[in-house]
This record gives sequence, structure tokens and C-alpha cells, in this order.
Amino acid sequence: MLSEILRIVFFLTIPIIAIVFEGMHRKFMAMFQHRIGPPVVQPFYDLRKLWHKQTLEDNNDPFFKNAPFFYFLSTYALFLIIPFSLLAFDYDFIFLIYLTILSSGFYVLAGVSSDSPFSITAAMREMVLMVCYEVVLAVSVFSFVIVSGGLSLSSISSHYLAFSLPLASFALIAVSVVELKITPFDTAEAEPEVLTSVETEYSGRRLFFMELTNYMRRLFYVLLVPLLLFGLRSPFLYVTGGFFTLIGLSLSQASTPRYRVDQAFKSLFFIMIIALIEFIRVLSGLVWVF
Amino acid sequence: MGVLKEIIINFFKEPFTELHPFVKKKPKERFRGRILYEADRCIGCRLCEKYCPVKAVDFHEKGRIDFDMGKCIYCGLCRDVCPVKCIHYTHAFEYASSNKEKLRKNLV
Amino acid sequence: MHDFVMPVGPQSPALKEPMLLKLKLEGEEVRSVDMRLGYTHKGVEGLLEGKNVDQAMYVASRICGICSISHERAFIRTVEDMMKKEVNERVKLIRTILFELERISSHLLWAGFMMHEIGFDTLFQYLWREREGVLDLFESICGNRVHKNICKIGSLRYDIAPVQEREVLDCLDSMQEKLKDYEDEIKKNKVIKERLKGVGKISKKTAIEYGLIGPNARASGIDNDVRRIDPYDSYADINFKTIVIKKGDAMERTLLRMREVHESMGIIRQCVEMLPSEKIPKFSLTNIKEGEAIGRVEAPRGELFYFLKVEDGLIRRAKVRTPTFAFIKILEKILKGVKIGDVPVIVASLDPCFSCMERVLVAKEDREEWMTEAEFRRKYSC
Repeated sequence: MLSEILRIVFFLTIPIIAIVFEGMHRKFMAMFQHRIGPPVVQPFYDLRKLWHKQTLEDNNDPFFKNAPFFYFLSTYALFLIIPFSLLAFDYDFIFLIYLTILSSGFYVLAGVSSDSPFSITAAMREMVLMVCYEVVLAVSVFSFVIVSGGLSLSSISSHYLAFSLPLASFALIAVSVVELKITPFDTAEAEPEVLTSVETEYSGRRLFFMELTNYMRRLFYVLLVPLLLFGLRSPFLYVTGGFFTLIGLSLSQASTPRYRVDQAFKSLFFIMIIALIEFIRVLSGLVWVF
Repeated sequence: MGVLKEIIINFFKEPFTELHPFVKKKPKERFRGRILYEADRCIGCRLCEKYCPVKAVDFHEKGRIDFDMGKCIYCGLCRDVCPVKCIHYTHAFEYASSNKEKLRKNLV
Repeated sequence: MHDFVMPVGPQSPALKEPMLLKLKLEGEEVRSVDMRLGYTHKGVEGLLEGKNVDQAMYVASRICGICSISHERAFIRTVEDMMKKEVNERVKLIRTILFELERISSHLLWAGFMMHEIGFDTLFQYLWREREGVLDLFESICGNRVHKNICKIGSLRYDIAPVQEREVLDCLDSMQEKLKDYEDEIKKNKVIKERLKGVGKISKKTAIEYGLIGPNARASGIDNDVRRIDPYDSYADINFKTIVIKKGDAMERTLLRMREVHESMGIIRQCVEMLPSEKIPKFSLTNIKEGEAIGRVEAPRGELFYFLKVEDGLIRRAKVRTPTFAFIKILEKILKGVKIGDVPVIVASLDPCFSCMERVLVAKEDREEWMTEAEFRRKYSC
């Protein structure tokens, strides 16, 4: 009973945790770049400011008006399964994949329905990349689930799979780099090219929801990677894993420039092939020999 | 891998930047900041007024000159042309203000 | 695919100064480019008129924040030419040192900015950190970090003290190794290579056609360096080489500037060694009645040209031709047919400085306009 309440409390505090993780991400970036950087609570200040800002939008498209809320809800729903499953049922990983696609879909919808050429370009880029990375995500999550021998994500949490699935782990990390929109795959958020990408036209509370959801998506991948790779046997190990994942992703952002969209697509295609190789290997029951 | 190594080293080093309003960097000796004018030594030759490139010097009478710090470009020409050297540049640089009248009279 | 016009600027993270590029897109590809300028027109040439040369020099140095010594230097060269004035060896050498320090500061600023355009923010921060050392030197030697205002006609405001000589050398030593590292990273990093190699290619023929100057021309194989063809200060006595590369793409332009930084360091080291122990002349107000002269220097971005006409001790007419003004038109040619992702890289790789560049130029295709100067002034109220 107690653990049930704890899980619900954790689920409710997800936005706050996401903001803190975003603050930590900024701090790590600053440390890699040899500067002090903003305080960890800086995203709180940003969001508080956005919440009180006037909404200035010149677009009455219902898709444009509502997409941020659906984007927020579909992303929040991801945390029903990860890291503690509030809804435990068989084949929940399919639900997970479905939700990630839905969340990305609303993001693209928000961009396409706004009038700004920057948003549309960014949304088109995101769409191009989405075709690839959702497949990679699905294939690598399937591999993990199959190897763990269970039918749901909760069965993974007792396994330690990083070394039995090296290629899928690599693909998963690569996908989280793409999903987090950090370099080298942040083409959809390339500031000099498409300004603030999909969010260009948004302001006020809608922008608040877009930003908060972006933070939550980051948190989701930071939680997903250690869960699949190292399992959830001890909370301490899990938190440390998440922490190091965040540092690793920050390092990736700090040490690479950004690909152009066609180059990013090519690299993603390569990663997709890697993930597929692993998937076929898992299906045919072969084992890596080291 | 020079840069990657440096990135990792910098992660554990003290940051290069400073928290400005709390840690103040001292300007160098030759720094040109806010103008300090010694009214009692002034001889009223009006050279500073004549030579100021942006007309920031407002001469009223001998010993009463307003330096408009909102217009000043800190070129140092008024100090150079002053025959009695009664114009100085101090090290103060944080006196931004939205009060134009005060800036105009160098009072902020 | 969806066709639309994407405005880059006047306020855009891709450009650090205002300018409007209207890109007609087809999908991700640029079909045609329309350029609008004039957002930072300050009318500096008009401001210069009616001032005496001592004042006007400081206004001229405000044309650009990055190459303020270059503007001062070009102005002084023009005036000293007008007066047929010779300055002593020490002044010349110190001017050379400051001039080259400014080139380092400008190139580092630009290189960091270039890295930001391709999303490598860490290298951007590191390059600017190194630049900070140069700015500190400026503060120590000249008094201010950006608008240095150290030059005087025929002299200098301050001398370089022996302590500062040491500071200059120490700064260069500490910078050199790091810059080598960063240069290697730019050369070797796979993603940077993919982003920069072959992007924004300018052939030698196009470069000549569009009048490219400075580092951009040198990257396209044109040996164009005012320091060599028309030496001033102590460049004639100093041993340095002009770097010329053939390929002319964004990568070569980046590497060329990084190599020029090292060349500048060499020049500064030689100058510091050669500094004689004489005194710099005391500053005195300039006394010119009449004259007309031109002068040019090699600013960090290329040839900077000044024309001044003095009547009754006041400037009657001034003409400034900044490097960016000479080559900005090429953007319309090289941006055609590139991917939208390459546009910021190409624009940045030319190192334009728009606030330098904003001059009045009336060019109308459909009808000719003939105006006297007075009419022109009336029409454009300057």
C-alpha cells in the first residue's frame, strides 16, 4: 500500500523532477564549457515567467491552440509505465511505443499548424527524423523485452542487459540523443537555422506547456536508458545510472557539432540497421560470443 | 582528441567565469571610467567643450561644466587637451541609470 | 513540396547583426535570395564632416566595435599622409602590435561564432575564453577593452611598459597551444568536416568578379594583402607570410583564419623583440589647414579604405569603404541552390560586419539619377 502511494506521489512530482533535471543538464553543460552557468533552479524561473506572460498569438487554428496540451498529456502518460508501472499489464511496451509516437506526433502537429516558416521547417525536419528514430526505438525496446523473457517492461527491471545487448544499447542511447534534441542530432532545434523551431509562434502558457513537456521528454529518456540497460534492482543504482546518463548525454552535446538534416538522416539510418541486426539476432536466438 | 580531453578536465576545474555582481573584477590601471572633474582647478578655457567629438561637454562657466555621461564615448580627448589636467577618468563603470537628467549632469 | 519565403533576419540568431535575407525556399533548398540592408545605418560619414581630425578619429573608430583600431589606423594613415608626417620606430612597432592583437581578437571572435553556427557551443566558449586574454591586454595597454582609442596622430596615447611587454608574450604563449588544439579539432572532427567541406565554394573567377578581399579572397587563391602590397607601419621590416589557399570553401576559410592568428602571433613576437628604447613623442593637437588624401590598411576582414578632404582645419568630406561593403553582394550568388541548413554557415564563413558596412549607395536599375551633392543631402537628409 505504501509503495503504491509512493508511486503515485512520484508520478505527480514528475514535472518538478523534470525541471530539476533540466537545470542539472544546463549546469553540466556549463561545467563542460568551463563557465559557472545558471543556477539549477533556473528553468523554474523561466517557466514561472512564461506562466505570467501575456499570450500573443495570431493564429486561430484549433490544432495550433490545442496541440501543446495534448503534447503535454501524451508525454505525461509515458510516466504511467516508466520507471514504476502504475498500470501494469502485458505488452505494455507497445503502449509505450505508441505514446512516444503520439507525443512526437503532437509536437510535429504543433509546428505544422503554425504559420511561421521556421516552425514548419522544423516540424518537417522532426518528421523526417521521426520516421527513423521511432523505428529504432521500437526495435531496440522489443529486443530488450524479448531477451528479458517477459511480456512487459516490469519484467525488464530485474535484469542487467547492457552487455548482452550491446548493439541495441548503443541504438537506444543514440535514439535518446535524437529525442532529447541535443547535438549532433538537434537539427530540428537548430537555433541559427530555424530560430526556436516549433515553438517560434507560441507564447505565454502554451509555450509554458511546450517547454515543460520538452523537459519531461528529456527526463523520460534519461530514466528509460538506465532502466533498460541496468534494470531497477536497487533504487540507488538506478538513480546513479540516471545521473550518469544525464552526464553522458550532456557530454555528447558538449563535444559534438550538429549534423545537417540529410546527414543526420543518413547517420540515423545507419543506427537503424544496427538495431535491426540486433533484433534479428535476438529473434533467431543467437548469442554474442565475447 | 585534444578538445574532448579538455572538456572532461574542465568539468572538474573551477569555472573561468565570475559571478559578476557578487565578485567584482578590478579594472586595470589605464581604464577609462566615469569622468571626475576638479572644478576649483579649472581655468575655463573651453577646450574640452570644443574638442569633445560627441558634444557631451556642457560648459556653463568657469568651474561649472556638466559632462553628459549618457553621451560620452570615453575617448579621453577632453583629458588630453585640458591644459591644467583637471579632468580625470575614474575606475567607476557601474552607474547606468534610466534618469537622463542625472546622467546628463554626471550625478548618478 | 511546400514553397515559402523564409526571412533570415533582421533579427536572427544566425546573424549577429541586422540584415534581412529573404530566402525563397523549395523544401529545404534555397531558390532565390533577396537582400535588404540598412538596419544599422548610422550616417558616420556625415558625422565626420565638420569635425577636426583629432575629434573625427574617435568617431571613425566607433564605426566598428571589432576592428576599432583598424579604423583608427586607416584614419591616421590618411591624415599622416596628408601632413607628410613621419613617426618614430617605437610608435610604428607598438601600432603593429596592437593591430595584430586586434586581428587575433577579431578572428577568434569570428571562429567562435562560426562554431556556434554549426552547433559546437563548447568550442565557441573556449575560443572566446582565449579571446578574453587579448581583451584583457587591450584593457591593460589601451584603457578600454573594445573601443581602444590608443592612437593619436603622429603618436600614441600610452607607451607599452616592460611589464606589459611581458604580459603580451605570456598571453600569446598561453594561447598558442590551446589554439593549435582547437585547429586540430576543426581539421579532424568528423561532423565539422561534413558541415564545412565543400560548402559555399567560391572559385577564383567568381572571387575576382565580385571583388572579394581579405581572408575570403586569400582562401580562394587570390594573393591580396595590403600589408604586403602597400606596407605601412613596420610591416616592411617584418618577416611574415601571406597565407593563400586555393579551395575557397567554408572549411578553408575557417582554417585560413586560424592560421592567420598564428601568423599574427609571430608578427607580435618579432615586434616586441624589435622594440627600441626611445621615447614616444608627446601628444600635440594636429594642425592641418587643407589637404586631401587616401589611406588603406588591412583590417581583419580585408582592405579598409579611407578618403578624407580637409578644409579650414575641418573635415569637408569623408568616404569610408569597409571590407564587408566590397564583398557582401556575393551572398546572392553563392546562396542559390544550397540547403537551408547551410545558409548560416555560408553567411558566417564570409565574416561579414554589417554595422561597418552600412553606407549609402544609390543604384537603381530602371532609371538613372543624377544629383549634385547638395541635392543628395536634401533628398536623403544627411
